[in-house]
Amino acid sequence: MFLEVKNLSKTYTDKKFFGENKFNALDGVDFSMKDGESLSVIGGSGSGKTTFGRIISKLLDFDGGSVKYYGKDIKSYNITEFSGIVQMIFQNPYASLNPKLKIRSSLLEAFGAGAPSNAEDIIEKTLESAGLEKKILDNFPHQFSGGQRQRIAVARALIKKPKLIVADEPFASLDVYSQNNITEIFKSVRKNTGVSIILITHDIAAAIKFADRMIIMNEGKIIKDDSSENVFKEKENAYITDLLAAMEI
Amino acid sequence: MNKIFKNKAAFAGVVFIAAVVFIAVFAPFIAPYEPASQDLSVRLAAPSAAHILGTDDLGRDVFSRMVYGARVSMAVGFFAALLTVLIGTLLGMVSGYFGGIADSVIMRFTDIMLCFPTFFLILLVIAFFEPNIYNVMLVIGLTSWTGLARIVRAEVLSIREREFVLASKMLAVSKSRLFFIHILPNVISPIIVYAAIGIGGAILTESGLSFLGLGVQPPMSSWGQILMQGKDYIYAAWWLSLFPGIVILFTVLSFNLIGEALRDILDPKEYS
Repeated sequence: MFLEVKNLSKTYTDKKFFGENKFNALDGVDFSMKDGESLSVIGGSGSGKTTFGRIISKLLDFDGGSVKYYGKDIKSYNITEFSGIVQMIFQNPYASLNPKLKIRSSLLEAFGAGAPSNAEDIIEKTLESAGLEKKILDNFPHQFSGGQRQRIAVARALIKKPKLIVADEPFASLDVYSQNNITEIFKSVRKNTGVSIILITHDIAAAIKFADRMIIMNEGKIIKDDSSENVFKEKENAYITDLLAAMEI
Repeated sequence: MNKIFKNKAAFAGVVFIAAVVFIAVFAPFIAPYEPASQDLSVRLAAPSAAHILGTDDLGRDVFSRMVYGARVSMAVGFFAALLTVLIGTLLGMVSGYFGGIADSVIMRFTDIMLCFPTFFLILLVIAFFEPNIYNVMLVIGLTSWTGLARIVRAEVLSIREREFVLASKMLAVSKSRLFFIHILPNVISPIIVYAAIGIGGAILTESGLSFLGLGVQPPMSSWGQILMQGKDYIYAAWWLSLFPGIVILFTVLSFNLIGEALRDILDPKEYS
C-alpha cells in the first residue's frame, strides 16, 4: 500500500491564562490509497481536510494514530527523502512564491545545494507540462496572475518527481477559467507521470470532475469514501443530503 | 529610489543629510579655524564676517566647532543605529523563527529592558564608565534594540507560516537558506525604517548626554556640548545656543522624514 493512515487524531490546544480550549480537528481517521491513485477530499470549513492534508505532507505533527508511506512511518523519513515522495500545492497562489526571488531561483531550490548540469532542461520540461513558457524564469512573482502563479507552483512541485501531490484548495482564489485550467493540468500531469494527486476542495463540482474516488469529511471524520458516482446516492446521511441540496441551488 | 525623490519632504531630508555627511567628511577643508584654537581677544563675539556663527566664551569659532561636531553626531548616529539593527534583527529573528524556550527567554529579557527608562539607564552606564564617544555609541546601541526585536519577531512569525516558506520546507531547503533567503529579505522593510528613525534618535540622545556633560568630552566638540556651553551665556550670546539647536532639529527631522517616506515606499507592494 502506498499510503496508509490509521486512527489518526489531531487536537489543537489553545492555551488561555486559566485552563485551555481544545478543538478536535481530526478524530480517528482511517484511510488508504494505492500507488498512482487519485482522489478528491471535500468538506466544509473546519471539517479537518486541511489538517489532514498537512499531516500527510509532514508539515504538521499529529497526536494519535499512524501515517505510513510504503509501510514506513512518516516520522522516520528525513526531509530530503520525503521531498521526493510528497509535494504540496497551497491555497493562496499569491503567497506561494517568495516575492523577492526570481522564478528561476524559486524553481532551482528543488535541486538542493548541488543543481545538476541539466537542471535548466528539467525545469524547462516541467514548465511545459504546467503550460508555461521558459521566458517566465527571469521574472518576479508579482508580474504574474494568480492562475499563472499556481501553475508555477505546480511546476515547482513536479521537479522533485514526487509520488504524491497534495493540492490544498489550489483554486479557491482563482476565477472559473483558471480553475478549469489547473484541473486540466492536473489531469494531464497525472496521465503523463503517473503521480497521485489528492485534491482538497470545497468545490463539489470540481471534485467530481477531477477524480473517480471521493472522500467526504465532516467534524474531523471521514463520513464517506466511495466512487464519485456512488457518494451522493446514499440519502440517509444528513450531511450528504445537505451538501446535495446546497449543490442544486 | 525614484519614489523618495517624488516625496518632497523626504527629498529635502536626503539633501540635508547629504550636506551634513559631506561637511563631516571634509571638515578640515571646510572649517575656517581649528575647532579647539582659542582667541581670548574675541570672546563671545557676535556673528560677523570673520566668525560667521560667532565665537564662544573662550574665543573659539562656533562654525568650526559645529563642522567638527557633525563628525561626532554622524558617527554616533550611524554606529549606534547599526548596533541597534544588528542586535534587534538577530534577537527578533531567532525569537520568531525558533519559538519555544529561546522565544520566551529573549522576549522576557526584552520586557525587562523595556521596563527601564532608557535615558536613565544610559546615564547610569556612562556614570560608571568613562564618558567618551565610543561608550556613548555602544550604550545607545545596546539599549535601543528592544522595539526592533519585537517588530522583527512579529514579522517573522507571520512570514514563516507563509506558503512560500512551507513550500521551500517541502523541497527540503536548508535551514540557513530559509533563514537568510526566504525570511530575512521579507522582513527587511521595517528594519530599514527603524534604522532611519533610529539614527535620528541616537543623535538626539548623544546631544542630550553631551548637554548634561556625560557625552563627548572637551576639547572635542559636539552639537549638544556647544548647546550646553551656550546655556550659561544665553542672554549675552544667543548664537551659541541657537545654531547647534537648529542643526540638531533639522538633522533629526530629516532622518524621521526619510524614515516615514521609506515606510510608505516599502510597505504596500509586498504581496501584490
